[in-house]
This record gives sequence, C-alpha cells and structure tokens, in this order.
Amino acid sequence: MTGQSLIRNFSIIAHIDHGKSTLADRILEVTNTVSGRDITEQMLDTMDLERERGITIKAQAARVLHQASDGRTYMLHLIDTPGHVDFSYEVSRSLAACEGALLVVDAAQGIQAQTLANTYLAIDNNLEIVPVLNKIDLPAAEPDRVAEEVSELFGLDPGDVLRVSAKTGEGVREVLDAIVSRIPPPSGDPDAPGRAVIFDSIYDQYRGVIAYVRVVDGSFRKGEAIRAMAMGTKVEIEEVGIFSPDMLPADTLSAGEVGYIITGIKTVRDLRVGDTLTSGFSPAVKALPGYREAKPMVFCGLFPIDGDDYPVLRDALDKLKLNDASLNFEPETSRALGFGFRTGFLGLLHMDIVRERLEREYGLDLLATVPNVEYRIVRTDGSEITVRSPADMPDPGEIELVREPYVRASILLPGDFVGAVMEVCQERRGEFEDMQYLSSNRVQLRYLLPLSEIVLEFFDMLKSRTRGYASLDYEMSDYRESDLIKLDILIAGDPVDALSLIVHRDKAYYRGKGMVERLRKEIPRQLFEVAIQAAIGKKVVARETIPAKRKDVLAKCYGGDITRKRKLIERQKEGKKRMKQVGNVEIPQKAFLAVLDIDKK
Amino acid sequence: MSTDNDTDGAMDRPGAVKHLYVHLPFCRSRCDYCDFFSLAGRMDRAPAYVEAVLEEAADYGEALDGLETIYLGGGTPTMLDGGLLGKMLRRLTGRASAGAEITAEANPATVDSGMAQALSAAGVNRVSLGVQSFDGRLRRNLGRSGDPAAAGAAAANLRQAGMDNIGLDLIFGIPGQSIQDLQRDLERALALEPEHVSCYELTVKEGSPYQRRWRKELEETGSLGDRFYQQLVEYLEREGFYWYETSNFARPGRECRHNTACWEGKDFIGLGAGAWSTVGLDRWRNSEDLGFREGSRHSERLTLRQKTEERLILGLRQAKGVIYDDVAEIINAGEQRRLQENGFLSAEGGRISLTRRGRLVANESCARLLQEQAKPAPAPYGPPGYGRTDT
Repeated sequence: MTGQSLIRNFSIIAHIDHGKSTLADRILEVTNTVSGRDITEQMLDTMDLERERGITIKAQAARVLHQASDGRTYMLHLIDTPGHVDFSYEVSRSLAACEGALLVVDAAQGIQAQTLANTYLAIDNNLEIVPVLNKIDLPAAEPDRVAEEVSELFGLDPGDVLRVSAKTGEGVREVLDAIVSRIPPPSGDPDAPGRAVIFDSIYDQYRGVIAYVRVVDGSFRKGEAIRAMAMGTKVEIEEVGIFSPDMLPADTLSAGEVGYIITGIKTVRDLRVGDTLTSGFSPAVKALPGYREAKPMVFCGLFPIDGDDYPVLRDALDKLKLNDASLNFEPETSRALGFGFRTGFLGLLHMDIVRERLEREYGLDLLATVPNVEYRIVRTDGSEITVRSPADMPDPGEIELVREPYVRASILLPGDFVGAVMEVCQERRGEFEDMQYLSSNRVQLRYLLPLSEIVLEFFDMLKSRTRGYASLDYEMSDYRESDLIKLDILIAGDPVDALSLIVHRDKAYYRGKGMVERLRKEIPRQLFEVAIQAAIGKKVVARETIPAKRKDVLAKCYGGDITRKRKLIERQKEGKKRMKQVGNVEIPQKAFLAVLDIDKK
Repeated sequence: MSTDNDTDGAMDRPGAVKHLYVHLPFCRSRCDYCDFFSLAGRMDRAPAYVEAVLEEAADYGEALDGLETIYLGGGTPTMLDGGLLGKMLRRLTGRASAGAEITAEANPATVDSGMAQALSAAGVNRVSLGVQSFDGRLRRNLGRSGDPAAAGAAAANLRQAGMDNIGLDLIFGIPGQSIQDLQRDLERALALEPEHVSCYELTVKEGSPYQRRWRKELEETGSLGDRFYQQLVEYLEREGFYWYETSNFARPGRECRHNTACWEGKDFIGLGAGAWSTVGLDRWRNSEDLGFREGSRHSERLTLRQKTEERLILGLRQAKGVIYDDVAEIINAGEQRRLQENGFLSAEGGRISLTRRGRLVANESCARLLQEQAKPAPAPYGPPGYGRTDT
C-alpha cells in the first residue's frame, strides 16, 4: 500500500489521431511497465476494432511506477478513455476518477471540438490540466502557435505547455515529471466507509463482470460484501487487483488507487459505469455524484439477411449487451425485411461498432435500416407516445404534435469556413446561438440543432465543406415541437416499411425525390417494370420507373463453356440472396441505405 | 438418354460416346474478340498436331465407335491443307455410324473449290462458315481481316462440291452496328440460301483491351441488345427459320445435331488442345497447348445437382425446353409460378420452356428458378419476445 501522497491519477484527453495511444504506449515503455519486446501498437486498445480504427472504445487503465526527480517512486494510474462524442458519458466517468488530465494536442492541427469539450469537462471536474503538444517532430508542426492557442483557451501559462514526440519518445520523461509535480494527489478519506466509482465494466465469459474502479474512500478487499449504490446490486468480491497493464491480483485496493474488482455477476447492467461501490457492512451514506443511465440516442432496425439467422442475431445481441449497458434492443417485424431488432445506440459510431462486431464476431450478414432518433408524439386524444421507428408513427389524423430531440452543438473551425458551416447548419434547421473567436483564426460556433439532422452524415458534410478542418461536439438539449411527417416509399405500389422516414415537412419533397432517384439507381432492372414512389399519406410526391430487363442471355453456350456459364448463373442466383424480395421486386441491401447518401450531392 | 446411368459412378471409363469434338487451333490471325485457343501461323506444326489428335482418339479405343456426330472446330479447321484434313477425317469418320453428321467450321476465305472438294471427299456433310459480318466497316471493327465477298464464293464452292447443309455464323452487337446494319447482314446471309444461321451477340471480356478501345460503341450496341434480338428473330422466322436455340436458327430438320446433343446434356469427347469432354458427371479439358498430349488435364466432377442445373440452363435455351420431371426437384415452385403467371415460362406436355419473351431473359429466369426454396419459418419465430428468457 502506498500513501496517497505518492499516487497520481490522470487520464489523457486527445482528438482522434493526435497520438493519445502512442503516448500511452511510450509511458508504459519509459517506466518499464512493459518491456520493449512486448510493446505492440496501441497497447491499451485490446479490441481488433480499436486497433484497426485507431480509436478507443472501452476505457482501459494501467499502473506505472515512476521515479521522479525528488528521488521518490510514484504510483501513476493512467486511465485511457474513449474519445468520441458517442461515449462522452464514459469519458466523464473516467475523468471523475482522476485528479488531472494530460491534454494532448497535435502540434500541427491544433485543438479540436471534441478535445475542447472534454477539457472543459475535466476543468468542471476540477482536474489539473497538463497541456502536451505532440508530434513536434512533424515538419508541419507549429508548436508556438498551438501552445499559444491552448494556453489562451484554458487560461494556462504558455511556458507550462510541454512539447513531446510520442513517436520518438522525446519529452516523455518530462511529461511523467509534470504529472507528479502538477497533478495533486488523491484526497479521499482512507478510514471512511469504502467508496469507489466504476469508470468502466466489462464482461468476461469466465470471470463475469470486471468493474474498473477508482477507490475514493476506504478500501476494498477480496471476500468483502459490497453494494452498487444506484442499482442496488449486492455481491461479494472474488478478486481485487491492479492493471500492470494486465490484470494482477492484489490484497486490497485502497483510497486513491485504481484497479479492478471481480464479482461473479453476469451482466454489466448490474455494475454500471458511474455507479458507486460501497461496503456491504458499513455502507457509505452518499453515493459519489455523477451517475446517470446511458440512454440510447439513435435507433435502427437490424435484420439478418438470411432469416434463419434471427436466433443467432438475438443471441449475439444478448451477449454484446452483457458488456454494453447502453445497448438496447427489442424485436421488430418488417414486412420487407422480416424479423429483426430495433436497436438503440449512443450514436452513429456506437451503431457502426456494434454492427461490425455482430458481423465479425458472430458471422452475421446484417441489414441495418436508416437510423433515426426518438420522437415524442402527442396524440389528438392527449396521450403521449414515444416513437423509435417510422413504422410506429400514427396516422397523421391522430397526431396533435410531434417533438424531436435537439442538441447543443459546438463546432470548431478555421475562420475562413464560418460562412460555409453556417449554411450547413441553416440547411439542417439549426438555430444559431453564438460565435466566438478562440484565437485569431479559430472560431467556435454554437448551434441548436435537431439531433436527427446530425445523425445523417452531418459530420461528413461539415468535413467536406471545411476541407476536414472542422470538428464537432454536442450534448443533448431538450425536446422541441417540429412539423414532422412520415414519408413512405412505395415499390411496385407496395409501401416498404423499412424505407419509411420521419422528415420535416419542408424537406419531404426534396428527400422523397432524392430517395426515389437514388433507389432507381440502386435497384437493378427486374423482369418487370418497377415503379418507385415517395408518398406522404396518400399523396405521391415523387416517382421514378425502372424499366424491365429486356435481355439477359448468354450468346454462346457450347461444350467447354458450360461450367463457366453454370457458374455465372449460380453467381446471379447467389446475388439474389443478398437482395430482399419485396413482393415481385428484388431490392439490394444497399438500397435500404440509399437515404443516407441523398445529402451528399 | 445416354446420361441416365450417371448415378452408378462407373463413368470414369467412357462407354459408348456418340459425339466427338475436334479442336484445330490454327488461324490466319487472331481475332480480338475470340477467346478460344488458337495460334496464328504455325502451320508447320499441323501434321504433328493431327498425329497427336489421332493418337488421342486411339486412346479412347472402342468408346468412339459408332459416333453419331463429329464436329471440327477451332481455330480454323480449314487452315489445314486438304490432304491433311482428309487424312484425319478419314481416320475419324471410319468410326462413325452411317448417317452421322460431320461438321467442319470454316473461314470463308479458306474455302476455295479445292478445299470444298476435299471436305466433301473426306465425308464432311455440314459446313459452318464463320462470316461474322458482310459489312467491311464492321469487320474492321471486329478486327477481322478478309474480303466480305468471300462468303459468297465459299458457299458457291461448297454447293459445287455437293454440300447441302451450310450454316452461316453472324455476329451482332459489333461496335458501330445499327439495327439497319444487322438487317442488311441478315439479308445478305439469306441470299446465300443457308440451311442454318447462327447469330451470336458479341461478347467482350470484361477489362480486355478490346473493351477499353470500344467502350463507348459497345455501350451503345449493348443498349440495343434486345432490339437486335427482336429484329433477327422476327426476320429469320418470317423467312422460314426455326429459332431452336438462343443463338441458332435452322430450316426445319437442319438443326445442328452435334450442338443439340450437347445442350441435351449428352456425353461428348473433345480431342485436341483445350478441348472439353463431358461424360456422365466427369468433365475434363486438355491443356491449351499444341503439345496437349504432354500437358496436364484440368478435370472436375459435377454433382448431380450441378448436372441437373445444366440440364435446366441448357434446356431453357432451346425452343423445346426441358422435360419437367428431369429438373423438377431443383426448381423453385414459387418462382416457377411467378414466371408462368407473368408470361415468361410455359409448361405443356410434360415440358417447361421459356416463352419468346422469356428466352431473351433466360439467365435471370434460370437464376430465379434455381433459387433455394424459402424454408418455412419455425413456429416459435417472431415478435415480440420470441424465445427470450431474460427480461
């Protein structure tokens, strides 16, 4: 056990690709936590997906020992957090487990919206900020300019801004020294009833749920009965330990320390991120602040391409849910797509990740419908319902009003692009709130935007209009009344439920037209002429026709050709498997995502 | 049917095969669009090659006795000199049954009266002339040398030599070809009074230099594909030809018996470089090499299902279709009904066949018919709360 004065807990705030994981790797290396030959890229990102995409999805932690210039050995706990807006709640909990944060900024690119938002979050949590410019070895690096920007933004002394190259290792020791000298030690009460905040929890099929915790007060030991204060879960500790960075069992976890607690619990739902663990015998009176339930923000239908895979999908979702308390799903039936699940996610990245994991880890072929947000509808009889799927939208006659979620968005961009970005926000029904110059050429725009407008490639558009320089962050605001209607797509006269959309009335025509044009290109010619219509209620607002396929036959078919031709027709046959048969019409999977691209033109 | 003993697995040693193909891979020059194995020039190698073919035939022994059809393809079989061709044919036809159909493909430019006489003397009773087009411009676009008028002379020489079964091969969909151009080709073909006409749509290999060179024109003619077909089917039928296979038209009784046998799934042996053979469920191919005897064979064994699929695919290219019971077990009943209801497929007298409209979309029709039957959903399927044990 180390006295709290020799402990420092910190996390790293960085924009994607600004070098957070590389710096973490370097810290592990410099402190000999991991020997050189065991170093792999992105040590702390253990999922294949994380390494491939260069992102962190689950929080990780590591304990490193650092001998500081005062000759004493300090115990540093690094908590590596996800960086994406979808996971901002997880970030907030990781920050809550620390006394300080390294703010890592690419010395060439400067600060980005996500980083800005997370840094403010850290400041709000009273964390000491240690600014670090990374990639100073790059030719395009402008450390002086970026240092000035960073110090101006957060009221720091430019002289305190550290300069490193995580790639070469330059400056990494100085970072460790700064962690020791600038970040305060933990200040919990070692003798009070135990309290620990769960900053992540993962499910391990052999060991059950492993809670990643920061002990604030008291201590926790094996065999002790504990309670999760928000969920009320009562359980006995099977093992406690630290991250070195692999899990290493220990006798106790004491105030100020970061480590893990293993219980036999089978789902992360019972030990949720943000919840407070306390002793079962002498529980603390008050939970640590900040717990809230992670709520899904966007929803889409997930359908197995092969209907036989429905049970596989169900089991796979059940398994992922063990490890993902924010994943939420319920059975959904589509006339077009069969049986599947309406699935809720924290955001689009989360959705993407879940879908990819389902396909990759469970061998599923999935069709995801266009994502939408959750609407609140007041009916003419005064009752209020929540709608997560266009299919559940009542008839227009039964609707008194529709409310949709709004977010408060912060966009950071170079001044030159303000006009272009304001235009994008305007198109997206945004309400301007304010504009602020963070530095001479760095502007923060704040808009109130319907979440639904951000869900569909808003970010891509933002990037393309600013040549990649804009960054975006947002937080939930409230629900507001909007003139929203359901747009149906009819193929060969039949409405295809999986293609329905909830859209703003002013955009219905434009969207409908875009959808049918796009579908005309995506749906191959069939044996029959196929009409594609967009309709609001009974009123058709756009129409396209796919002419019939009139010729599809091979010229020659003799002796040796036969195998080849048979294979060709087999391929044609197999191709149909990836189509969904709706009535007489075969619709390729990607057509169901056609709507996603409409605004890209 | 000769393949009815497929299932006993004893087909590795061919029994009596009635149909023989001989590949003669010599050409004056290579045509850009052709993907058969052939070599330009190299006629010095022809005698040794013929020897190799005859040796291969000898290897099959009695299996080749009583042949009903022999088909010399290429390449350009008539690039060989008459004497050599005659020698080879006499050795092969000696094993044919009386009344066998003996076809030689020929490049019109090579059929002078001497060649015509030689073919006739060697027992060839059917000649298929590779005309491709009578239009000089379109021939150039095909990369095809030779005088368009040669076809007329060749036909006359063949008639002179007593040939009473002449087929003309045309290509349509040539870069730069219009519907009117096709009509003129058809008329000039019929002026030669052929017994048989084959019309092949030009097939260009994806990514080939030819495709790159003619991309725009090929897109244009490609978009006219169905109109070309309508035009030629209408015209040739009006002129008394029977559209017996997707690309083949014949005066009544003059269908090519050799090819028909292939399409009916009968066994055949191919001799020579790159030649395919199919006996029962076995299919193999000689190496594409003049020294094919030393090269390694590619071989595969079909499953019964694949064999049946081929029966369907090939059967539906023919006007007479296919015996329903032969293919019933692999057909998707729902798709069959849908195709029938919409006028693409007809079922009559124990056979199914594609209608005129259906024949132009034979691939799509087959792909649909071959769809696996949708399995009925298991009873406890479906929403909400199916099979869920947790809350």
